[in-house]
Amino acid sequence: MKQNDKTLLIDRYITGRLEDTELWEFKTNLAKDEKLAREVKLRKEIYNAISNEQKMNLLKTLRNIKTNKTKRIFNINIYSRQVQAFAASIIILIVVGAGILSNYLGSTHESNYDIYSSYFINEGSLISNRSDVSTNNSLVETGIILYEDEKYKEAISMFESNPENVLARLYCGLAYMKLDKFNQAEKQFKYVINHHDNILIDQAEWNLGLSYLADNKIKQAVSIFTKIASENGAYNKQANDIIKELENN
Amino acid sequence: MLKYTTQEILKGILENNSIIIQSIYDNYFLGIKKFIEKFGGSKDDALDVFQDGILVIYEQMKSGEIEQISNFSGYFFSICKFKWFNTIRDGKFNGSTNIDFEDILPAFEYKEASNNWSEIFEREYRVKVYFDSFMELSSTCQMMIRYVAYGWAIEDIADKMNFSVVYTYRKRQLCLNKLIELVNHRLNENNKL
Repeated sequence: MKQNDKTLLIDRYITGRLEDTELWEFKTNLAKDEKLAREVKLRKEIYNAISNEQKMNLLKTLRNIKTNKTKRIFNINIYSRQVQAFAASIIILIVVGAGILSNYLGSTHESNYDIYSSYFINEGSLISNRSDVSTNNSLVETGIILYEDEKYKEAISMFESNPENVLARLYCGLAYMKLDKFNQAEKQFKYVINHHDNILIDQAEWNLGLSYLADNKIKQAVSIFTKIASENGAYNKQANDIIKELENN
Repeated sequence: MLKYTTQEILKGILENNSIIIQSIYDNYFLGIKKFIEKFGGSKDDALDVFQDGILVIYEQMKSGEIEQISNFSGYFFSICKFKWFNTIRDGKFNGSTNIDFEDILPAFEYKEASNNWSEIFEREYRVKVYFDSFMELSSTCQMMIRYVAYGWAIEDIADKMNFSVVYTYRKRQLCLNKLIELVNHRLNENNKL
């Protein structure tokens, strides 16, 4: 690693960790290099903003309000004759068509997939922060970089070259989920769960449930979400929410 | 009507009390939306203006500038109107409007307070760009950049995140590059670089 790396120097300057001689040299460069000065200013503003937790939390609250309020709501006047006529036609079509459709649809796969999509998020830091499983393995680390860069196929080949590594297994499952290959994802999560001796089990169970859901294996999904909801883990609230959504679906 | 006093509302904004902020939304958003729509804007514009209004009050509370406000409603609406006026005046609004700017100037009683609203809008615009760009990063990158911003050394970040130092070094660089790219893209879009 280059200790004098420019970006590291900028970070150390902004956070007041440069030694006297380094500081003098850096300030001299700063005075004559406009591009560097702009970069330092921008970086400083960004770091100030990010490290202001109170403000970040306020922005999150406002963002949540905005996100909730931009979901489209359709208001339909149910007393309108046209609406009633339209509704009647739809009901007839549904009754007549239901039998035919159910033969080859057989489920509400799309809506289950929608629920899955709304709950599946990038979990990288949760995993790496909570895990006591060492990532001191260059192939796994390269895999994680590829995963973060959304190069899922390449990431999977890195993870699969470390079949004994539970963290690689978990990331591998997540990468398969990103590719909508839920069967393969399920295998990875089951391995982590059956491994027992690690603290990645709650993430594996949660993502196994989501994979079941996306794969329209509702019975298995409900079973695992019920288990998660009954425990005091990181996902019990979400599991409860998802069960309710499935009941109303 | 809000069931909170002006002081409770101001304190609620300062402390990020989501119940109070939601309550401000429930009570005032409709009025703001009607106003913005009357002057050519949309619901999305109104949501942005609402956000900006809250941020201005937060900043003024932080710096102790608005302890004496007696009527939250009037003050908040004035900020929102002023913000929309600025948006149109600065050409950041793409829609067509036929507006008499006098109609949307803030109430005269807040003229003095409004002197630094523009400055706060400008500053908060950039903070929102940083925040939105940061939130677009993966959770690993968010965590890592937060530690960088706190001034942690690479070795400490590696230790905290249970990564090797070499990986942390590379990852930090990737995350920073991505963040700067997102920020520059957003600022360029609005010619704010």
